[in-house]
Amino acid sequence: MNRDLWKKADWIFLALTLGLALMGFILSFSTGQGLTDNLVLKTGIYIALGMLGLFFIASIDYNKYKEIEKPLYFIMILILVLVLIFGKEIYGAKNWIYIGPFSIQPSEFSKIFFILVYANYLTRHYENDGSFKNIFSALLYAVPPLILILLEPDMGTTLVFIAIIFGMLFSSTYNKKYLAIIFFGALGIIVLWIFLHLTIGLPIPLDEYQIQRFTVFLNPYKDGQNGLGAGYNIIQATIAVGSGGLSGKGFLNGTQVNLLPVKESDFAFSVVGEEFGFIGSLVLIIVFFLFLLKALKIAHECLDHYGYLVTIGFISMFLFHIVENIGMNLSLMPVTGIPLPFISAAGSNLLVSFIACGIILNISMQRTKVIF
Amino acid sequence: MNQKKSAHVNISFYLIIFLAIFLILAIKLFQLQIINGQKYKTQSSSNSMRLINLPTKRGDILDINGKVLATSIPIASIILDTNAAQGDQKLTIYNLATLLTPLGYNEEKIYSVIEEANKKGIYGDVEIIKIHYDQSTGAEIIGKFYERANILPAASVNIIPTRYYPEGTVLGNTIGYVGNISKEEYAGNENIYSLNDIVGKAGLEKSLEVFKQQGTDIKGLLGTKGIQQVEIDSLGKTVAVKSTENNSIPGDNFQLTINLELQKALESSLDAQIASSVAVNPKAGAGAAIAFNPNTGEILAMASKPDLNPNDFVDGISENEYKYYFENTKAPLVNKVISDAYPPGSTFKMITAFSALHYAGLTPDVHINCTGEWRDNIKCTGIHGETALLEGIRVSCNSYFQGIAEMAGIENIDKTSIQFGLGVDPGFSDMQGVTKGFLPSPASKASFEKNYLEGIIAQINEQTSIEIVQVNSDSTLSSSAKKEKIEILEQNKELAIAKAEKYYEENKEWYIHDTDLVSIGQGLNNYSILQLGEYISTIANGGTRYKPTIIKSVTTADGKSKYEVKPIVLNKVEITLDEINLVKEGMKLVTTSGTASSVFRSSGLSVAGKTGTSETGRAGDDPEKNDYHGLFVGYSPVDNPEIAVAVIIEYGKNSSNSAAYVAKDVMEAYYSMKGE
Repeated sequence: MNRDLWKKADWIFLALTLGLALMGFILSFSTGQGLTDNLVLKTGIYIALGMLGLFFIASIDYNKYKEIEKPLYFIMILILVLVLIFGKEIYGAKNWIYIGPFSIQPSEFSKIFFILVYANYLTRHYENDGSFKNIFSALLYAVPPLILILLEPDMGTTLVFIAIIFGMLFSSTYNKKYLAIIFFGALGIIVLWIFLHLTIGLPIPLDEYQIQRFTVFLNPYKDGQNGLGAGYNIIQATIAVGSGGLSGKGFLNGTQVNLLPVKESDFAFSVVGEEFGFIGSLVLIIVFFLFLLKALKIAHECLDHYGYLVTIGFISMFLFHIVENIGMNLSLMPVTGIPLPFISAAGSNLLVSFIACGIILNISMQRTKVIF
Repeated sequence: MNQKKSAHVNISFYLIIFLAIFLILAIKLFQLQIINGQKYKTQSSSNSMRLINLPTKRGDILDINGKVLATSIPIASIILDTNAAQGDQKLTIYNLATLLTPLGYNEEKIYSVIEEANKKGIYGDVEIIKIHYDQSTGAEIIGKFYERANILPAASVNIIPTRYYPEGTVLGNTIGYVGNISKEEYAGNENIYSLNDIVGKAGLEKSLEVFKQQGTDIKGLLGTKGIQQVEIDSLGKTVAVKSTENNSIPGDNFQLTINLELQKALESSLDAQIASSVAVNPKAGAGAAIAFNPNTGEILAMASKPDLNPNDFVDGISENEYKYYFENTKAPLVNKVISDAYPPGSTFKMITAFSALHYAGLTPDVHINCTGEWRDNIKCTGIHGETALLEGIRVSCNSYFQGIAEMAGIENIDKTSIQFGLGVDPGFSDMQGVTKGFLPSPASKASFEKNYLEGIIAQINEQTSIEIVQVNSDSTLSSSAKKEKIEILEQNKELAIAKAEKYYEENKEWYIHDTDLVSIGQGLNNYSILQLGEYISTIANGGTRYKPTIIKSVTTADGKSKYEVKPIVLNKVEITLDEINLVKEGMKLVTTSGTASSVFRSSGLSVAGKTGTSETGRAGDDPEKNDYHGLFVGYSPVDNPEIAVAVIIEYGKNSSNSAAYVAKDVMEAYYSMKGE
């Protein structure tokens, strides 16, 4: 990799990435309180590993991934099959593999593989006119990994995948009519189905507790245990964020969040809200916004459809993670256990986020300014 | 290169979408933190105080001498807080698995327990295992748990009182059992129950769960839960108990009128008679009996067979137990003393005698000629010739009672039955599921037959429509063949309905034959053993019907408040004491020289009673094969009776003798206890 390319890299994007990682590291001092593991050390190690990964990946020409679509697809499927066989089951989902003291979540990494191969598939078919047949075959390509993740069953990652698929398809089809009909139609049917199940008792192939976990955010005190059951986390998160007020209770001074399980990962944003208040939360949200805008700019400055789609894929992934995680901390979204990129102490997700940024960075190096 | 751009979306479109999304997040943040910030700050500071429910001890059930029949013993429940920090949980589960290895637990097992709880909608505190504290391994594990508390940060031990019945099956059917509250039981009772409560499911455990008594603090077995305010630390664990604003109140203790020794004697005698009956008739295997104090209405002993062991239900029943309880034709779950009604047979004959004496001017010297058959259709037990009252009772002469029943008329027989509690509410309010039995009268027969006809017609219609569907879906038939077959089915249906209607028309009226059947306790007569016990008690004491009670007294756990049950008179019969004493003379003869003399003659007991051998009225039973129930009602001593007994042995050996033996055994046990 020559130095000239590095000079063309989007330094602001890199700065935003490292800034987010730094915020996550600082936060680990707070979320690590009272845990038996040394969270600060662990987060530090992951960030160091992630940064190494970022610079290494950023040095690899992203065009090379095009040539190895089939091997990448195969590895992705293999990982997901292996995790089903050897994965350790935690809380009903088989999505962890333990290697020594570290646990990794292969479905996290499968997202990178998927975006790389899917972008290639869509580029090969970039004459996709949005006809029903073309949309259908593009969806079919994504079915095998989706089924494997659903089998774990990892509902959160499945939703992330659906967001990625939608984002990438949306950005590569001319006629978006059928695409919109399929996605919003399916979404509408699911919402209607759950609504009818809850109101008139229409049968649904899900357990009552699954539905309850998914819908309890609408009224967390109505969980059958007066807010001590499935609604407990949502209530505590809302109180934690709300009690932060304008300027927060101060660094390391959060108390309410300690009533929350996995405050270091799922509910890290509640810690930000409680300790740094509205100002701190808003700063974090704005940094995320700028980070995504910068990535969007890189996508649009990329002249190559493949690079454009890869970036769009990662943007979709980040956007969904950010909206869903912050949303569930603010009781705008159901609780699904999706981490907040760079902020949550979730090792696998941290590495994946760094790698994704590395690839985006490499794409930014190869752009040429388009002057309209 | 330009071609690809046409698929692209204008960057400003994305920009607008992103802006909208982030604006929504910012607005929600503003709403939570700025607009409502103060409210949440207040909540946050008070949130480190938490209200928890304190479990309470369920009341005990004791016999009249204070012997324990149902109580609660401590069982340790290990709870995992699944809302605790994840690292703590992992550590706890790892160490818990080690601790529980002797009980066959490992990490996978613990995770699966949590998952099962989540599926039931239980989050937060999840019970991992129940340990019997009094078992040696159990006590050892709990001891180790406390020693290792620092490496079990997300677990806690709750010592919870669990139901235990020291006497097992004795009185089991009447005591009933407890179990997890159902959604139906919870609905509407949210103020006293929570979703993981144990509640009474059957018998006294159910009926005495809530038992309020004005002027006392008596509330029932359940008790009142306490509410405790606790302070929780930064990890959500309890660090200090702030207040016990509302201390829990243990449930009340119920002392029964039951005498455990007499109960055991009654049950072992019932068991023996049922066992010897099974040996000759495989249909046997069930029975029921009750012993009253005829002067108060107190139940001294009551038993229903086959047995129910309440301990079986405490931790959920096993598959074998399920088969025994739920797939058993002898129905161990049914309390046959109060919930089942049987044809009383000849034990009913005193009613016939009373009604003829009181309402039709019968005198003891009126004779009826028994030829062995009454009106050419109802056979007698023998050919008794000219028979009067005392002799009629002694030998249980059917023809005599049919003769005097026709003098009295069915209206007077019904009037008398009601006075003795037959076919009316027996007034036993201590338990649920008490049957009224069935009193035959012209009106009740007409409605019975009407219901029967409607049932038959519905059955015929359903059967025919099923057959028509079968014909229609038979692809081997041509459409004309189908039509033909359906026509035949329709014709058959009309014929069957016509037949049923003809039967109804012939049977809806009350005939003299019906009165004849009623007079000897057959026909539609059906009463519970409780009712027969109440009836014989009323005869024994000379005509006062007392409200049956199984409760002697109720005391709050601290003994501060006590409620004693006093005898309550339900009614006095119109039949005069002289008339009753006349019939009682006949009942004395029954045990000395009559139908039960072989059982009692050599016992030396002073007993009066009446045997009954009743046709069961059950489908498939054949009187030729001795498919009869054996019954006996009686009291002792003959003068100033102290104990009155009613017994049924289903398909009893030597018919009524089996039941009479049970009565004899109970009376002997009663006197031997009294002598001590």
